[in-house]
Amino acid sequence: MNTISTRTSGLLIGLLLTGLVLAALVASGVIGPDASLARDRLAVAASSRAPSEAEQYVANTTGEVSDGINDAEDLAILGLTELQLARETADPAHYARAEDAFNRSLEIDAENVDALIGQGTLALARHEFADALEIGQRAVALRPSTARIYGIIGDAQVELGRYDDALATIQQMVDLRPDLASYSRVSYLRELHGDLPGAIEAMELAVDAGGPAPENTEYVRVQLGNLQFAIGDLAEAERTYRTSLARLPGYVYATAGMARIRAAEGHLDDAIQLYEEAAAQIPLPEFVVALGETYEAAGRLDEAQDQYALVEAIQALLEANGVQTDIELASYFADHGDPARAVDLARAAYDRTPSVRAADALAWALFADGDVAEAFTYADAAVALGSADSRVLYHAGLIAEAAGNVELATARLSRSLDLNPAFSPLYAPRAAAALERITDD
Amino acid sequence: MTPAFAGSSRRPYLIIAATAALILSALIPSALDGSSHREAPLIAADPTADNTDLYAWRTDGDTVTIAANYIPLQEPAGGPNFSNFSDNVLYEIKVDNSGDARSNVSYQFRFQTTFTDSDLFGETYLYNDFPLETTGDPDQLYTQTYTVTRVAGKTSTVVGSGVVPPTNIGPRSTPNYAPIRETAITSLSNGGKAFAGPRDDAFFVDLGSIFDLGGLRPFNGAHLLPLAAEPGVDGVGGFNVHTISIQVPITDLTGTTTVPELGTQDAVIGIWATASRQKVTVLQDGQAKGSGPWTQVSRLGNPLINEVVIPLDLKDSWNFSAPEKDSRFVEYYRNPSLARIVNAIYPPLVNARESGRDDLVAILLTGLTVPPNDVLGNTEPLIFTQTGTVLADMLRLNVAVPPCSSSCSTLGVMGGDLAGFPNGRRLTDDVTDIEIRAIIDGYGSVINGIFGDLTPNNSPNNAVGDGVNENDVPFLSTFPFQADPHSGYSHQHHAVGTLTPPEPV
Repeated sequence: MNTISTRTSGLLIGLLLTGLVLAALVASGVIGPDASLARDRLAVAASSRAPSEAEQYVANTTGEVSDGINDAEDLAILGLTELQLARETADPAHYARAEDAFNRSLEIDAENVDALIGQGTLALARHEFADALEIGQRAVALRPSTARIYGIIGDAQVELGRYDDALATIQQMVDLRPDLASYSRVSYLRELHGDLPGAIEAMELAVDAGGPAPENTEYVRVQLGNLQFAIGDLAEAERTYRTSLARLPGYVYATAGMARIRAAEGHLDDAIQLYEEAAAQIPLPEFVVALGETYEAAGRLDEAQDQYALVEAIQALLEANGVQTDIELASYFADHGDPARAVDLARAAYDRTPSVRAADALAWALFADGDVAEAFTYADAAVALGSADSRVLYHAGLIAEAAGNVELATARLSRSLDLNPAFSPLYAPRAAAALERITDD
Repeated sequence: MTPAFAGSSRRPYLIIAATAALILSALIPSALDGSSHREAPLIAADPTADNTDLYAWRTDGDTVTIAANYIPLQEPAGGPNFSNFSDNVLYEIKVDNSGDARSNVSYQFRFQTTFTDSDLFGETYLYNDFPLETTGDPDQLYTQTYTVTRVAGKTSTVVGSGVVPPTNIGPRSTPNYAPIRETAITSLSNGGKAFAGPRDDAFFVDLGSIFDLGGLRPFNGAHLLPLAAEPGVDGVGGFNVHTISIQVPITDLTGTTTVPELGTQDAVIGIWATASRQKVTVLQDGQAKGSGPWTQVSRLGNPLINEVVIPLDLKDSWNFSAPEKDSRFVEYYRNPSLARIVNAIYPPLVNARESGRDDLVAILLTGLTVPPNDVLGNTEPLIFTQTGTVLADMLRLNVAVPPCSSSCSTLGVMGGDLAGFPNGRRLTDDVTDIEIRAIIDGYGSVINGIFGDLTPNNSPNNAVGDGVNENDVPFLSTFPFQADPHSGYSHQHHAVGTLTPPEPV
């Protein structure tokens, strides 16, 4: 039944959000005059967007009963709907409202599984992975046959660096219910372990299990495109992103995928335009950073700086709404001029969540800060599972080079470029230059 | 009025739960990308592997026709994303002929999709180049073929193969659908026929009213929140589904050499349909793609069980499990929540029994043996739809009961017509009204005459219905029987039904 409704409402993702985010940024004082260019450029009318199902539900619910809802299940649903709104609008203010609804639900019924699922999902969204794991384990004890709870637990285990636990959890999940949600997690674990062909195969199953057009399907289809991009199959990746755009016109993640393709082909102006489009729809840090890096690759440094300023503002807004962004910020500061701060953030993140992602951020921050020896240790940790991430391999390769381990540096940089010689307009040329430098010596 | 209704703004919990299920599946988070860590969706509707309805009835020539439908509520104007079968799903019809709720004979459908570039436009989103005249027309760019495998015990035999007919797109692409449908019927090597493809959704029900706090439009005045009475509206009218259908000799399913006699255990078979997806190992072990093994993700036997009987938190679990394990759900049949809801929201009705419903357990989980009675005149107990003692949700069919030729009733057995639901299910059977009346103890005089106090015949409960008494379009007179799919170019939704549900018999 949902097929039809989600098909028509589709992903009207966030023409609204830009207004919301900007209003919040201004209100909280995190946007300074130096970001005003970016703000002006991003200003899009919020009023042109039709209300989504989730918004209508919240409007109806609050209109009818306001704060008077006192049914645990109703409150859980209200909270879950707020989470959906957070996704549709990228406005993290919905997190606080969701949290409130889940807390009230669990005060009435401490064993309301939907509220626990909501809390766990919220903890994941805020990158509170230890909390998510604990909540997920409570929920699974109450309802062991509900597949999506295993998704919460498995996601938390991945981010906490507990990969063997995650493998077992996701195996349970996919045994219980092979569907888009479980197949896509199988794919991600394979990717983390360096098996990109296997990751592609599982992601194809995820896409197949997704039904005709809802946003979920296009989300995993774009992930499939990203995997095809990761092995350097630009033609297939482009075909995948185009399919996504045909099915869900304007889909922001597919637009960003097309930007990545254009950048890989060296068409930086086209890439910039597409990233602008994506960031104007949803100013996710990853889009804004990619836009900034593409400007930088094109030699348009002032415009790159505008984007980087916006990244910090967005991260501040996320932090203000309880989202942990240490890893993302650390990587950003390591690349963009504040290595000491990067090290602090990355070390804190790694202490809390010793994942390969955190190890990469810490290694790269330490390297930027000049501590090659310690960076080398964490770079090893970052590629320990058998990374097939060109950017991570590029980081680890440069660190190995600086540490004087030519053999390892050559292997990592070669693998980085073998996977996809154009993985980034900014960093792929640097990886190639480093490899040339090493082999010339 | 139950205590739950003491506060006027209080809504029946289970209806909220039903609505919640819809909301949960429609809305709930996909992925919350606050930043770059990977958050794949947590839940996923999987319409391609979703059973919608199962039909099974005896047809002419000592055959049984079975139709299992999938992919709910397809909008005919769904281009460019028309619904299709999945190459990665195993679609299966299972038959128990020994009473243990395990499959003795099954029919497996596997699909293979090919996509060719257009002669005219190269790579295109279009479905076809020129008007399509038959199934398998070379101008069809998106084509699905399939194989039918009969599994009996451990023996699998490919008994046929076919081509899925195209979606009914419109007057330019599919100007004449009848020859397309006829050329899609394939013969099976065991003497049967098969069809797999899009059809009109044969189900008819007033979803729009029933999901609005249990409303039945013709009885709007009797609802706790009264409205003016109105004719029912067919909520699935004008939508399409995908069916896998077979028509096979009775003996192919019973495992007997001749058509079994009425009253013998051999005459009763239990039927259910499933959809399964491939099992995978997270870290690969070299397993070949597309080879299975399989994990069941959906099943269906009797109509509306997962919607009406199984509670929200067990719906997934029910879908993944086998009928032979259904004894764990028996309390939800014996104490049906729907009886509590209807008692609460329809004060003028005689209150139905809210517990101890051995009638529902017998009809839906074991099948019926008819005691000696004056209505049928049998002096010994007569096996009617009882498969055995194992509690299992299966659609039970007594193949010894010949097809109805006169005095047929859309109320099936409730209407005095022994060839209809719950003896199998025909396309015309009004299972919504039958099940509502059964749950609220309005069984009618025939069933009450046979089973006595087990099946009360309270009035006016026995006249209740949703006001949608028949399908929005006529069925075909020959296999595959379900009507051709609605055209994307021209179709109408939500046909208006009637103010008068079928008369109680």
